[in-house]
Amino acid sequence: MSNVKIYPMTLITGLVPGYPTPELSLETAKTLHKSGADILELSASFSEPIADGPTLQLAHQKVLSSNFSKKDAFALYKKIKDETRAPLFLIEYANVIYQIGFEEYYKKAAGAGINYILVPDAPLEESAPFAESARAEGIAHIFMIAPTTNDERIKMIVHKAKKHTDPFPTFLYLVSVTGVTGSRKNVSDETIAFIKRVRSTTDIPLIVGFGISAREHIQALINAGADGAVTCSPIIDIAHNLKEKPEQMQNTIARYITSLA
Amino acid sequence: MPKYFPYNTVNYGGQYVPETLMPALYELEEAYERFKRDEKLQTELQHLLHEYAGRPTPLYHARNLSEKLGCKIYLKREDLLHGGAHKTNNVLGQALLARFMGKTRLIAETGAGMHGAATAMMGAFFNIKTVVYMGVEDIARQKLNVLKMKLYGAIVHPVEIRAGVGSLKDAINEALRDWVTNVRDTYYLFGTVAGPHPYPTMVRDFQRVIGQEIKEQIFAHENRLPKAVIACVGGGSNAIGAFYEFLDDDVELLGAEAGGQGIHSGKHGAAITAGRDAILHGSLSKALTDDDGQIHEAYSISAGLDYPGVGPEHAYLAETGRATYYPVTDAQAIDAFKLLSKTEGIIPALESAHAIALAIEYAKQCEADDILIINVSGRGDKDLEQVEELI
Repeated sequence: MSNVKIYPMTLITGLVPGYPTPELSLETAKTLHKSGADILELSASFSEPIADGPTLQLAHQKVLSSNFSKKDAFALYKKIKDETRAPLFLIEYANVIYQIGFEEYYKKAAGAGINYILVPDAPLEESAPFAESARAEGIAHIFMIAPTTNDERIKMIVHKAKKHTDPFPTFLYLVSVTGVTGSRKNVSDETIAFIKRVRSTTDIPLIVGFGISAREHIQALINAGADGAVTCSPIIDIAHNLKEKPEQMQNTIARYITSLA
Repeated sequence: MPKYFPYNTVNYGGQYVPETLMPALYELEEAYERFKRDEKLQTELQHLLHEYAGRPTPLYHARNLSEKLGCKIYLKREDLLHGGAHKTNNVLGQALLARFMGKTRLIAETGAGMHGAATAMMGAFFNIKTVVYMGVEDIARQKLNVLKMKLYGAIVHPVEIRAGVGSLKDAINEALRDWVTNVRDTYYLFGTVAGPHPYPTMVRDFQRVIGQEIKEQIFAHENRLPKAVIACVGGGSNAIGAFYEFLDDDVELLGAEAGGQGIHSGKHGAAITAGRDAILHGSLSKALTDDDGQIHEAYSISAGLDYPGVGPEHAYLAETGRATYYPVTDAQAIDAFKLLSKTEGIIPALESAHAIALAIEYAKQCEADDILIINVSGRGDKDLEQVEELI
């Protein structure tokens, strides 16, 4: 388990493993890491991605129709780990873990070098088997907090997440807006107020995701008390638009990440 | 309200949704508890079910079909309900609840278009803006219901996940994404007994009236319980509505799943017969899924049964053995569709034709005096264009 220092600003950059191809997603991971990403987010493909906007839905569809299996995915994570040594943050929908089996799944993930796992459709109430199996393998289960989450609920989530601060570094994933993944123009006052509200309840690092695609966004989040940000959809968009020109794809992704840091 | 339907080590049901929706589900559950105890609202609901929707629906002794099948067949005529299917029971209840909660926008998913049309009907009746998500494949095969929705003033939002592909499960995904985005002012009027808690329980409560009436009516006709109650199962709302009142009685409960082109063809929607425990659309239930956890596309000639999942209470009833589920193929359903039309002058929905087909099979082992009740969940006008060449 690598010890991640979430200070002063952690940049998490996302990719969809297997998209546009396994080879290109490995290249993308390396590019992201070299360009300054602190943690690599791996958005694993699921046929019913209810938390994802059009960009990720399309990528997931393409990955699944290329017959990229979970076995292939774990092998790719391992390669990404071996070649970058970056902390890896995996997003996986609940049914995938359920079908593979909790114990088996987290064992495989740990073997592939995964450090954090978030299950977007397993809220606090359903989190126990996921979080416990993760813990048994030295993986931190990452909890989400949304703008609709009230203070009482934030306290309960923080309480659960704290179980993971020792011995594991952990963070809370704040969903910046009500909605699905995808780029948005700016950071709203509501998002700022939301970050401040969560910040006042805990000192666990806060990472903000959904809709972040510019340095000004991240600056605004950090000023409000966040410790870092996730950007994913813009990277997928670049990969999509330049899938026929791999070199240009990597250069454009590198420029994008450099522009954020 | 129970959040889970536990069987052995499996807690069917639950709330597998993004955190953003959890507060909305608590708000919904809390509002529903108050709604249930509010006498004025309950009176209003009863009044609407009676005056607007036309309840009670008849329990009709189908003598011609009985003669043909060699036992006593009764048809619960949900096809005669306003809107043309049992869906009206649920949408009336939930639309009143949405109004009670002060929500200003309704969203719904639809397969065959019956739930979408029923929700759009409520949008018109209560003057609430309504958006219905519908897969492009279903839009193509259910034009009549699309027209109805438009006439009621709803927006029909086509869902296409790749060229030409989009059915009920994709419509649910898209409706959930809409809800995640507009959760504060929007009421998600879910159409079946699946989804996250409290929907499976709440929709069942609104559909229970079917079984309650059946029980009263069969005692009035025959002064005894039936041997079996038979219903089709997609998500399973008409079936749970018909079954629920009989759970503690010595009555067989039989569900007809979409057998499509046969289980072995892989082209079907039989989540209980051929699926396994899985997490889909907010609950742990049975679904068609592979070893990697990817959900399979379902298939059925009937859009309303073309769904890879099923409500968690059905998974529970199947596991406990209290209800039994059988696949019915497209061909069997078409035969039953024709048979009921020709013997009784009643055109059932293709969904309901699956229940009739199962009754035809089941009747082979029945005595002349045995009573079978088939829930005719909807009428078949919507399907005529689709089956034109098969008639």
